[in-house]
Amino acid sequence: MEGIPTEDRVDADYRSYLVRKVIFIIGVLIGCIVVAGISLTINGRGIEFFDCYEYIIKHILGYEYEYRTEDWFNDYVLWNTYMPRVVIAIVSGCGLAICGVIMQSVFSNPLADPYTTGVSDGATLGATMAIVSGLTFANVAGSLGVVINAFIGALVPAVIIILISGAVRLSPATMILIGVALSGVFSGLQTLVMYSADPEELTAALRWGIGSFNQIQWSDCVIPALVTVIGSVLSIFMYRNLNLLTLGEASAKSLGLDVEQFKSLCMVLVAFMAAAIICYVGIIGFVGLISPHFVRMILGGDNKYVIPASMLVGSFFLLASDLIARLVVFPDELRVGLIMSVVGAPIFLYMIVKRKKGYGEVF
Amino acid sequence: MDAVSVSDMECEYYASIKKKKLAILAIAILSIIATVCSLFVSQLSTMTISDVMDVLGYHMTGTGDINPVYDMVVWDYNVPRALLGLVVGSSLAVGGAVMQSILRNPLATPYTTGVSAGASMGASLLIYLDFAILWTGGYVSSIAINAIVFAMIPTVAILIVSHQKHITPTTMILAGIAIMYIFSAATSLLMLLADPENVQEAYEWGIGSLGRASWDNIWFVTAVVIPCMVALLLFSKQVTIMNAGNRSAQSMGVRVKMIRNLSLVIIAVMTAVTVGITGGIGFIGLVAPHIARIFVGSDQKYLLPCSAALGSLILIVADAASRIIVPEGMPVGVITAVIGGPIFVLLLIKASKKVWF
Amino acid sequence: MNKTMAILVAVLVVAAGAVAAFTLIPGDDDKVSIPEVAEGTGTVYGNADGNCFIDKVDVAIAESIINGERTLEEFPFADADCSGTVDSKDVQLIKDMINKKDMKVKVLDTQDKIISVQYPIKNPIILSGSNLAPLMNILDFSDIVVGAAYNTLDPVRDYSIYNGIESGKITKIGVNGTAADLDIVSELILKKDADVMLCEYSGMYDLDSDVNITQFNEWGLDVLCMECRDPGDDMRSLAVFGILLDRGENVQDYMKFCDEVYKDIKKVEGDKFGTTTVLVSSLKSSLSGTGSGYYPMSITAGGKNLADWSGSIKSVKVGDVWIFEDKYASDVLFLGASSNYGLAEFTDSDIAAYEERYTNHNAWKNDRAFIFSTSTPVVVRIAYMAEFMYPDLFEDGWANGIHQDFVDKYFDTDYTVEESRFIKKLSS
Repeated sequence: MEGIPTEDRVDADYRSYLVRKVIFIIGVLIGCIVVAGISLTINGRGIEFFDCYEYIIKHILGYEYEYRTEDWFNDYVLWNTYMPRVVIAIVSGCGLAICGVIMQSVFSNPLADPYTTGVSDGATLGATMAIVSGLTFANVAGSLGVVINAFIGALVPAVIIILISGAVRLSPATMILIGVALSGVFSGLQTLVMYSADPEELTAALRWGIGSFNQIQWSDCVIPALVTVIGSVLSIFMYRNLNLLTLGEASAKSLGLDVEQFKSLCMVLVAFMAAAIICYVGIIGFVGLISPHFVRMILGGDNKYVIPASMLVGSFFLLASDLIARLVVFPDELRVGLIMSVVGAPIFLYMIVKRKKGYGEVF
Repeated sequence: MDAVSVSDMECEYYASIKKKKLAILAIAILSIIATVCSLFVSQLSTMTISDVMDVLGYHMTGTGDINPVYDMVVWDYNVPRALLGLVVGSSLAVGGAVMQSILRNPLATPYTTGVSAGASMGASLLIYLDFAILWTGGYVSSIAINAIVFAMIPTVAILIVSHQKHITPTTMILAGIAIMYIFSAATSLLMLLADPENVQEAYEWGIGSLGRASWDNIWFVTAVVIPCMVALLLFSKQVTIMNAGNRSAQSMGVRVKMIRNLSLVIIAVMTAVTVGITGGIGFIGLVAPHIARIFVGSDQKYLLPCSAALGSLILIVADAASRIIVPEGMPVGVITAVIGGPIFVLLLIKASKKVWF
Repeated sequence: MNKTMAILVAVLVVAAGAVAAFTLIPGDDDKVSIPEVAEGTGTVYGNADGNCFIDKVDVAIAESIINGERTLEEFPFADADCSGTVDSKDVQLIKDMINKKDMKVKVLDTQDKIISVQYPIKNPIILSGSNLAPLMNILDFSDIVVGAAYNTLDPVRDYSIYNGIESGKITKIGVNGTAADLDIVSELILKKDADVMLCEYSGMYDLDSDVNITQFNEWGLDVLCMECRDPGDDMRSLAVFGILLDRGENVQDYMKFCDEVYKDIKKVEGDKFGTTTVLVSSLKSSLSGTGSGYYPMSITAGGKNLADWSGSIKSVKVGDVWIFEDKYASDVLFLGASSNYGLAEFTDSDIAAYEERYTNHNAWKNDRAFIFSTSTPVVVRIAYMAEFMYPDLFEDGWANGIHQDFVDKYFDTDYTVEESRFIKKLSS
């Protein structure tokens, strides 16, 4: 009989399915490396594409140059100015994409990401309060205090959303509206905090809010990288539970998952990652929204592959956006957060207007 | 068997209606009282209550000896401010009530279709780039015109798209949010390239304040808002029926799509005009209708007037509070956000008891 | 011996004695007069008397501290190596500075930090903030500048940098006066041996690139940021730059110019000095307070500034009525906006923004609200303020004349100052 797949056919299909995944992941990885290289090439010293890789590799291997020679400057500039940017782009992209995957699974809301649900704004408010008024909830001076404040700030919308979604069946649109309203609250609070600031301070604060990789140092990469690595590892191990959640809460519960506890844990993780990244970089929206969708379009919905692939895709998006941000008005720079908003918002609109019910959710 | 007679039910029904009407009246009176009280609140530390009474007396009777500075402050600043607060507060609340019904989502506000973001963009264009659609020679009014025009764009866009294909209210909401993100990105772009001074001005404008009220612009706002509110009141019966669901409404003869689109346009016009003068004052459109529902239920015939009264009361009180707390005057949008926010969250958390979600 | 011989011998002896006395006893031309008190403007360590020059007087002061005639507290800048005491090492350093030896000197900047700076400066880079720019012409050193960061250049006021950029001698290193592109700066260090970066201190610069200063220092580039906003700091920055760039004479000249203007003001105003009440705004949405540079400026011009808030600004939004209180009802209002020599004048939206806020103010109603340019040197702004606060005491166009004098002296191009471009009455 025609049409019934033979064992060989099934095998072949499955293998090509796997091969597709592997090719995709490798492709994105190569893309990241190439874009990173191009990004390094956009420098004011005129270092060529392959030379950049050479300098970086040599630096890692420990080469040193004579003080104040051309090579010395090249090495210094590449390693201290441009490499941190590349690293933070990878880390932020990775972290924000994971936040997106987790939130979308936990709330069964394809539109969830730290930006649209107000988590980012909460983190920003926390950080602003810490920076401007020296107000910290923990008596830790310096960056750690800012991160902790941002974390607490990010927890507020997270907690609110969890509480509400626990009590009431929230449609995705409603959750986004809650996010918008919470953003309004945070924005009002921020005005309260910045009220007596002079125009320059205010402008600096507002501009800081728009995500940028400008002036990133190696020391700024430590906490985000640490937190993102922890988050990635945790989420890769959680993929089964996340898959269960997409079946619906009732099914998940009946399959043995303590839904409430798991959801809370996830949101705490998300708040932490988002806060850690936002403290150093500012708000970058839509990465968490778009990366998982892009990946799902190609690889399907199994979180075992979606999570790692989203990490890579997120990094790729941010590397590319940073590149664009620097190219558009060279030698000045538009900020990454702005580019992501300009690109992401229309994609968001497109997703809404063209959505197919095939995702299995009802808006 | 305890038969409830028809006349008993009728009595109950009329009693409940009477209660609702009383509630509306009470709130409206409170609102007027608050308005009058707000006239006495001022940043001038030396102006006393009797000074204000003197000024008011002078304007009502044409006699009396008054200090010109006090006259100016009370008559040229406080009175228009109070009137604007009345008008804007009721406009936002009514807009919110209708939006929540026609979009069938309790979190809808008059700004949901992107009005506020569009207005901010329009204002920013003038403040940062000196781009005015029509330069009237006055800063405030030129910004207002920019803001109004740009505020209408998102709504018009959504309506055009909704004509082409069938769009659910939810999609409209999300589209509005997406457009808000787009405009917000554009405004951020402008901000990045601007002077810090202008940034502060645009930022303050966006927060929302009643400070720009003056006899010049009050009449315009009132002339637009009042007819709009009346029009919305005329539709109230149909909108109430729409609460039951599109299909049911259609089967009862309500032309759902037309009413929805018309209401959206009216609300957009009304809101655009108010936002043009005040900037984006938040949470009144969101919270006032919910509180009003606690008093009078969801029947639009009573909900709209109650929301109007409540909205103006809230706004006047918030504005007076903002002038008392910080003598130099904080934009009222900050107060509404800071107080409205927690109230909103409380309402949400209590929402599990309501059937409305 | 006979009498003539004796007289001859006596005369010879006296003559010999006199010659010996002349040559052996230290002469009067080495005895320099030491001032009573240090001026305190040129805050370079080694510049003991605080003026705009490193010279013999400074050596003498150091020596007098060593031998106990004077103390370090009186002349804190005599301690050239910042060691805490004055000793022969300091004297040697000061002498080296006089001889323009290639060395590092210590400078106390306006943020009270001690910075080590290359001296003399040979290839400077400048970050031209809006207050530093008018001072550049006085210092007249654009022929050695190798790089500059700026937002927009006024072709008239900033002619020197402008010409340098046009001819390619000066490289643009940043798009505003608060940040420098690291890569381009590294090129300048490499190719043109840039040694010092001079910039106007601004809060924003600190926020953005505090870290850059460390990087620049690692590269061997010294960074010196001086505040240029209020008259006191203005003079100090000029004096410091003057010493480092060997333009002490220009600075001294300019200081005399300013002093004469201020003396004139006091003379003309006589006992009316300090009677006219005034409020100043430098930003559209706020009034300047006691912490802003305009407070001392308005007082030097002879006004009584009614600001009683301590920050540098207090916000004035449209609809604010606190400005109508009696205690703020000043006679005159000065509202600042940017209006440049070769670039745009006061814009309509500037004027409209002020009108919306102040049209009911006492000063505006009496036709005494003026919009003035914030792009001119401090002394010119003070002159305008003085003339417009006391119009019946000063000759018409007096301030403009001073402005024209300044332009004639320090601008290379021919430029006629039109008064209305720099101060204008805003009437109701």
